[in-house]
Amino acid sequence: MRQVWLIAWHGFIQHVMSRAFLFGLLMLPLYMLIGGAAPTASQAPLDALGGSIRHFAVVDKTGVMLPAIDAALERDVTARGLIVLSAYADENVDKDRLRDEAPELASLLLDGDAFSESSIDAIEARGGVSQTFVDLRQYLKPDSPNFIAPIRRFFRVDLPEDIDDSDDMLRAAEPYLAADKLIPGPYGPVALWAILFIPKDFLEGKANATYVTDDTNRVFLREVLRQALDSELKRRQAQALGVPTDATAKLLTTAGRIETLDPDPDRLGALSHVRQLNVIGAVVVYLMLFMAVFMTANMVVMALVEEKSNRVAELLLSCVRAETLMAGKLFTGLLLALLLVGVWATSAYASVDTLFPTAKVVVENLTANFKDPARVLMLFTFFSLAYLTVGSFFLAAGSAATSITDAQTIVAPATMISLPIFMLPIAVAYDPMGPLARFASYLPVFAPFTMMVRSLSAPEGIDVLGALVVSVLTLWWIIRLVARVFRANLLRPDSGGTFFGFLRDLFGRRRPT
Amino acid sequence: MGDAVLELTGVTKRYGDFLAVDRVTFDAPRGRILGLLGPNGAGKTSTLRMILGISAPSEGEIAIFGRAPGRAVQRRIGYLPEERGLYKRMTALDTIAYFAKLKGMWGGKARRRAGELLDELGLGDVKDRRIEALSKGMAQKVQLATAIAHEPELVILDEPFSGLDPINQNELEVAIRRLANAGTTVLFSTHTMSHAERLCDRFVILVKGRKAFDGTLEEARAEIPRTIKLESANDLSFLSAVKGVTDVVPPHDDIKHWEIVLAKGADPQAVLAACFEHGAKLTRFDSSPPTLHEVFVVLAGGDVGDAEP
Repeated sequence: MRQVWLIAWHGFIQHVMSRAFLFGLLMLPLYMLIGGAAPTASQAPLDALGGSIRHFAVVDKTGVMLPAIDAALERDVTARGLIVLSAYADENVDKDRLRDEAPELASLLLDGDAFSESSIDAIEARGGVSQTFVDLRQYLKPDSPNFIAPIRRFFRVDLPEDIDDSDDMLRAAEPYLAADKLIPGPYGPVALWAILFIPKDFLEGKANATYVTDDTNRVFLREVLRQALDSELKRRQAQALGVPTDATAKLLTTAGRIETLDPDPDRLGALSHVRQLNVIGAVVVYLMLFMAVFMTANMVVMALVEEKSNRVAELLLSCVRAETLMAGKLFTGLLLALLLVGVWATSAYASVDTLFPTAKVVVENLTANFKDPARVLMLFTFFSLAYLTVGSFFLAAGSAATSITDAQTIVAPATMISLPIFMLPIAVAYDPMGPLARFASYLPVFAPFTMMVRSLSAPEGIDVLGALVVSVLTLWWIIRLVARVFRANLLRPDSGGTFFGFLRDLFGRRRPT
Repeated sequence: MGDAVLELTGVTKRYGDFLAVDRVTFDAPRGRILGLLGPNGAGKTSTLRMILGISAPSEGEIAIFGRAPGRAVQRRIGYLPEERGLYKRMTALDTIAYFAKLKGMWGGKARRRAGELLDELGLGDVKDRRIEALSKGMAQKVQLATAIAHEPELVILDEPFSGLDPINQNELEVAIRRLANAGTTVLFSTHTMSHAERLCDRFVILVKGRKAFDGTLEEARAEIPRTIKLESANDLSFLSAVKGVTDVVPPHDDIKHWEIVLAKGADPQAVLAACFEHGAKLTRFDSSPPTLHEVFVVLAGGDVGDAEP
């Protein structure tokens, strides 16, 4: 065992000190840095194109609709503030005391429907979100975090003069809507998201308003504006018909709503938020581990081929048995793979806040999964088994090669043939508890890869045990098979060289000399 | 035989249909230097690899310290392979210490021993230099140090002199003698006869996988007819009548001397006396015993391959 460790540690240090390994180690964090920093560097146009803040202009030929639009924007801020404040209250207030001492506030924030128009009316009546928070503060638990109200997402800006003066307003608006030209916003230059044209005879119902935008998929602003125009039109018509103002207001805030309910969000087919996060997280983690497995297995093979070609292998074999050498090489790769995964995962975790805020929720979800030491142990175990399975096969291929070219000739087709083994777990990620996942957990060779993905959920104990037994037996069989080839081929100057020659050595009945 | 460190009995090695070693039997006494001689392809390296346990014999038995090759005896053997290879980016000291540790030495002792060996071999100044920055001769000394750092009882050197300049060859000879004087058994293969002649107590000559000779230099010389070289302006054909002379070869082609071939055990002085009797004037009388190379040529049946004098 000491010799295995000596060889493994020696190989590990040799690789870690090499520029090629450091390059591979740092490339992923570098890509993450570039991938994260590039959007930050060009934040303004990207915000304009994909961010959540929208700036729009209104051409109101009726001359009366702007106050209704501005009021709708204020109401949108209040509505979103209410949702966030309700969630904040749910987590941070002393609920019993709030219900006892301020039942109206409790009814609004704890027991009410944060999405209803009446709740929005109620919070507006209390003076808005900020005032309501002031009222709530005395009921907060000690050490509650600060309340951060959502920022305003829609801003109405003045129409740029060159559009306003143009005979063809649509054409004139094009460069603004495509973010090629910026307009003055409340806090600096911004891109124009949309223009709302309200024709003069809109009030009579004879013409439609027109919403002009470069992005027709994201409709939140359009919906807010539609509701504002719709309500104002109805209010004016009700007024013309002599309906009392209070009645009109009540009618306008009355809305039928549909609630969404998923009876079993953990089952396949449910695209719940948590479920999506689990799938994304599992696929990301799996791909990272998969890359580490193959990268290090390849590196160890290349190092072995080099040792074989420069005759260090013969010297090593005079010191240790072939099996010891093979085990040492395998553990070199495992140490390297763990280092790679450690550095990559730490980089991703450390940089997600700064570089990838949108992926933060995925990382948080993964972190929550990893709080259970059993899952970490499970992932580590199956990752190691997966690596050792691939690594031993690769090492046998390396022992059959006399040059780097030979090794590539053997390893490349082997990798392509075994792609299904590595791709199946990605399908498993979509339903880690489903029949496919359970079946693959018991398939030789597939088992450790499948369980790498399933470790991120909570697989049944019998599946874990079954996969462990299958993986260990498969590894034992593969190591026995490849150790024979490894031992026999390591000093053969004419060994292998072709993929099929390697297969004959591996599975053929003849004993390699 | 009882003091033999190494014993091979009927050892055969086949690679597919190719017979590399054919029923070879010999032993190596403790504390002696044994030369394994033969042209390239004679089966020397295959034999050494079987002794080391790197490959298994197809037939026959090998005993090292009374046990089969393998883990039990691996640490008692040092090996210098024919084709040298070291980790280019490692320092000389780290390289020697690493292989010593693989052979069972513990870290601190291995490094101390590596330092001592480098000093002994005149490489103390370059111990922290990477192998790739060393000259070929220096690297070869480092390689020798890796073979002996763990203080083995049996050292196997496969063509240790190849690629070395004369100065380094002499230094290596000194190192090998030092090992033997310290009680280490040395088995080395070579196709350069002069080194073997100077160093070895005994020889095993392999030709096409078969053992052609096993014994001391004197025994080897006795195996072949002795030849006396004479130079004279006279006709020396009369020597064919001298008792013990089996052949008289007159000068021919580029050879300007007469060669008088004696029967086994015949006295060269009888030839000299016959020359005096016949009044022949000799300008050269060379009755020196045959060199190992000459013995080798005869034993190898002329198939000396790349063997060097």
